[in-house]
Amino acid sequence: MARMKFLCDSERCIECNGCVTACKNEHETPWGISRRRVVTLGDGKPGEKTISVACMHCSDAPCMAVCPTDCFYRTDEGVVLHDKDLCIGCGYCFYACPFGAPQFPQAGNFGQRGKMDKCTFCAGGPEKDGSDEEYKKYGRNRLAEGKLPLCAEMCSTKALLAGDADVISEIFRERALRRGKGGELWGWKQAYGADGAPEPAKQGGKT
Amino acid sequence: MKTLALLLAATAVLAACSERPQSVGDYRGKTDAKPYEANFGGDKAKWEAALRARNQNQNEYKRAE
Repeated sequence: MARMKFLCDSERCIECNGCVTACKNEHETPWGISRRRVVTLGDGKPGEKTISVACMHCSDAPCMAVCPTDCFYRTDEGVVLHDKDLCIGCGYCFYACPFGAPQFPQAGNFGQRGKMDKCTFCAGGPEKDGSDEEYKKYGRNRLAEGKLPLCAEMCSTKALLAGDADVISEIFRERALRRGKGGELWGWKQAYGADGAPEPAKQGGKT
Repeated sequence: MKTLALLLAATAVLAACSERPQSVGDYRGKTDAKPYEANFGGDKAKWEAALRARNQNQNEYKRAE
C-alpha cells in the first residue's frame, strides 16, 4: 500500500461543513477545537472556491522538524501523529504548519495553551488501539477498524477524498478528465511535493 | 612544540564536551501498534483489502457501474 493522503476537489466542495461536523462528532473534540475546517478562497469574487482543510500529513512535515520535544512520528502509512504525553504546548508546530492544522485547547483560567491537538487521519495515537485512553486523547481509531477518515467518507459530494494516494489521485484524475476542468489541487504540492502531484487533467477535454 | 601539542590535545579533549547530537525527527514518545494488529489479528493483507474496498467506495464512476 502506498501512503495515505487527503485530496480536496474545490470544484465539488459546496461548503456544507459536513466534514467538520463529522470530525467533531466522531472524535468529540473539546470546545474551540476544530481539527478540520472549510475555507473560502477569493470570497465574494467571481470564481470563489471552498476547500476543506486539516492536517495534510505532509511528506516532509515541518511540524516534525520544529518540535522541541520530538513528539511527532510518522506511521508506515505516512500518517503524521504525535504523543500528547510529550507535547508541552509551545506552539512551534502551529507557526511551522502551512495549513494551520495544530489546535490548542485553553488549559486553566489564564488562557494557557494546552497540549496540541490535530487531525490524526482517524488513526488514533500511541495508545492501545481502540482503548478509552486513546479515544480520550486522540479520538477514534477508524484506520485500525479498516475504515477511512470519517470526514471523507461523510462528504456528500465526495469533494474530500482520503486514502491510498495512488487510488484517490486516480479517482480525481478520471473525474477532472471527464468534466474537462478543475485539475488543480490546492495544497497538494505544498504538502506532498511535486512528485506526489497527480498528472494535471487537460483543459477542455470534456467528452 | 610542546605548547602546540598541548593545544591540539586540549582541542581534541574539549571537542568531546560539545553538545549532544541533535537530529531532527527522532521520535522520543511511546511506540504505536500497527493498525492491523488490534482488529485484524495482525493480518496486514486483510486490513489492506478492507481499506482498498473503502477507497473504491469514494469513486462514484465505479459505484454506478
